[in-house]
Amino acid sequence: MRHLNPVSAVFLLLSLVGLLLSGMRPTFVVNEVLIRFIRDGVMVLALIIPINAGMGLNFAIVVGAMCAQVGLVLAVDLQLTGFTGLLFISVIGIGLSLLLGALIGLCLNRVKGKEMISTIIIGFLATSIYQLIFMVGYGTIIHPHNPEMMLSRGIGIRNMIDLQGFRNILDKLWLFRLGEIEIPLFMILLVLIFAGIVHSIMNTRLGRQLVAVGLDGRKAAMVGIDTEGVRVKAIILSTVLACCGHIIYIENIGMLNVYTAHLNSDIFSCAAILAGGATIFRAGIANALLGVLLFHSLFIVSPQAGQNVFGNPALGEYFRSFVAYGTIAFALMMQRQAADRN
Amino acid sequence: MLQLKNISKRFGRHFALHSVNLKVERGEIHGIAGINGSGKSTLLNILFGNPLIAETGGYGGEIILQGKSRRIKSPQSAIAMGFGMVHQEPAVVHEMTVAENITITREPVFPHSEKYFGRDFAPIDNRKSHKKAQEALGMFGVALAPRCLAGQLPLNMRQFIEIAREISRDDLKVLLLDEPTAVLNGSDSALLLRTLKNLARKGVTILYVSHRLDEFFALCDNLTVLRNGAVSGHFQRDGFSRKAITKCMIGGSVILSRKKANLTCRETILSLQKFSVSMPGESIEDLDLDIQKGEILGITSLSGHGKMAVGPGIMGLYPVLGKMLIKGRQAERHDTAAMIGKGLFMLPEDRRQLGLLQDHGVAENIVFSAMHCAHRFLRRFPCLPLHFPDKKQINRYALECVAAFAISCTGIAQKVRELSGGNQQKVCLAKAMTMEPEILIVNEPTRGIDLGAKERILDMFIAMNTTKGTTLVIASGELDELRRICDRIAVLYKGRLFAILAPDTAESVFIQAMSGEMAKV
Repeated sequence: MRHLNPVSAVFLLLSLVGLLLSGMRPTFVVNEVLIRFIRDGVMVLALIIPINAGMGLNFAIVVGAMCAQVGLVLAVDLQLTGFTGLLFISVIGIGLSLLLGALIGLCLNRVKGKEMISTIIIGFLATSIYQLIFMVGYGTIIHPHNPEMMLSRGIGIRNMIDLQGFRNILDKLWLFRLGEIEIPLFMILLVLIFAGIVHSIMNTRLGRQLVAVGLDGRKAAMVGIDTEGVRVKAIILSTVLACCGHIIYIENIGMLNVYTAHLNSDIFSCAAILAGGATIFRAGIANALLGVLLFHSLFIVSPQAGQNVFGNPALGEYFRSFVAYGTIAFALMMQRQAADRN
Repeated sequence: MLQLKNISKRFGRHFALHSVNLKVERGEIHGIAGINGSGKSTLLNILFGNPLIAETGGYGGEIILQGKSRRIKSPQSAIAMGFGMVHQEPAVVHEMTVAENITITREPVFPHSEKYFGRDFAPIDNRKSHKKAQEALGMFGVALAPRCLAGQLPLNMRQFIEIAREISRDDLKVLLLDEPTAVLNGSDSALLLRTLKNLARKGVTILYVSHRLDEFFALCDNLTVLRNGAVSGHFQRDGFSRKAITKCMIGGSVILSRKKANLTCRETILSLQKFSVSMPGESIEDLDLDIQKGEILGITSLSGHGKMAVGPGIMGLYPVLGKMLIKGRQAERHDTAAMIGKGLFMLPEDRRQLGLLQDHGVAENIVFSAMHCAHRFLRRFPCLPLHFPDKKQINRYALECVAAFAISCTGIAQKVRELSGGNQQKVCLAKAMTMEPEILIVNEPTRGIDLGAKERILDMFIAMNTTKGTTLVIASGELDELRRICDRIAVLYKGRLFAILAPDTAESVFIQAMSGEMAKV
């Protein structure tokens, strides 16, 4: 990041204007942004690998998020708590996302050049299958062990599951206070470790092959790279990272909204990485981390700013989706122009 | 070492190769000669497992490597068997650095890391990788910064990167080269040939495809000639004869095209005044040049000195400064559509990327510009302002073109991607002729095209000029060809006009002018 690119600059400007209009205290915003940073950071990092492999924004990271939720529901069902529970969730989630990631990768090899729209649809499809399993499958085919999480009719899981056993068990580690600002050092380090992992993956043989396939698939094949295999691996890695990211997210929130918690993770993550100046052809760690900070600053201040300016709380809520979808559309257009200029 | 038995390849009903047999010993440099479309590139593509072969139905016959029969399915499997290939257009990823390109798929990693992280996930040691790249390039005395992006380098350097990548492999057994010198100049070619000889001495078997006879004489131990997809002759080193080989290649002898220069002064059709073009790698500064109606003007220079920028500059493909007068008038808009409207047309040197729609048929390519820029070959929809392509007219016209230009294809619907270089260029020419431009600008018309097709294309230029009176501007590094067909030849040096010479000027004078050593004329 030698200089701020236009998308990031616009975000920075909008965030500052929003902050002024909302009248929020900066320390409050900083706290909120830090929380969002650890909640969403890893999810955004999951996008980097497929972008560099030339597959664009991987909206199918929701599948990774669902894998994490499957793990969570099973953990609650088996009444596992604390770190054992977390370990169990990770094993189930990562195992599942390895499998589903490979499946998505194989699908995407059949729709080369249309990966982005395909991942969106795969996400929708996976969501409906997932909802079917937990709404109808539980209590009929699958035998529940924990009656507390079931709906009163005995079939299907409750909308909301309380995750008391996991809530903030990681966030409280190494928690510092700097005046009014709370710094969950462990979690920040964890996100940075994931960033380091992604960065080092890009600097391995696989990473180089990813980039070569992304830049010029035909030439990559001519130097002996198994382009299809590399693309599958990229999606597997992305799905696994998304799963890890979602575990952190749910753990931080402390409640699991079984049917909807994963729904916006793809859109918000894509918006964030674009806000950080990534393109759909090239993205780095810096784009992801900067993007989370910028996007969520705006995300936090915009509802309040909307309410103060228009005097309507509903409008404030509307502003959030406006920001997310607007970012993606805006960033894609800006890139088109930049590509044309070159 | 390598034996090919009855290798055949069909594209549709058309045989590109027909039971080719070949035997090559270890450490032998074996030349494969043939004119365009004779099947020599197809043969190498089969050996290297190019996906194009598998996509079009695979090949027939048997490949025996070191006594074992092998089936080659993909470049990956070919590489695993020890094949390496230098492509006519280097398979070098532009946005990656020199070192990344050279070491790709076999990057050096930190010691022991492979044990813990596996082949894919071991971290790369960039310092070692840079060193390896420099060593590989050093083998033929080329020094490039390993961090430099490959796309910023000129074409010949990219070709060297590709060659360095292949010869730096430890497991290389058979090296395939597909016209590697097409993009190299004389001294670079000599360098390459020397390197290849050293490589053969180390026991690497080399299959060398080219149409430049001199290179075979300088390099090869044996030579096989292909014609129309079949072996038409086999020569051993002591039996090389230029005449016999040429005859074998084309089944006759070549007549060189030639046009008598016409130096009578005519009216100026296009005038460039203080014309600057900022094209990366080939810029022009303050060029003053008058192009006369009905002439063939050659433009030459060493690479990087601006000959390639004249055409794109005139057509408005790159930002320009200065004045450009067409028939004495400055155009209001300076973009490609406006220029085509004014009767200008250009054929770029990079015909695969810029000149043709690779995945469209021959017929569509021929009429594309005419249909979209001049609104010809269209049929009106009754009552609505809609137009449809007139299929009948297009097909009739395309068939005429295929016959007139002798384009060898399976039919007018064949994808242009599948044609050989010479035939692609003929399609480009047919497209340009269809536009009936007043001024046609051509960049490197004969690059990567063999003897027979070359003369035919030069003949077409001459015919176009004499019968239709088209003004031609040909930018080329092939001085010999320019001198045969041009009326005047402009020599550029460092992006400026250095001299305008008559084509019968001695070659030494041209060379001096191109290197900026002559007193200005």
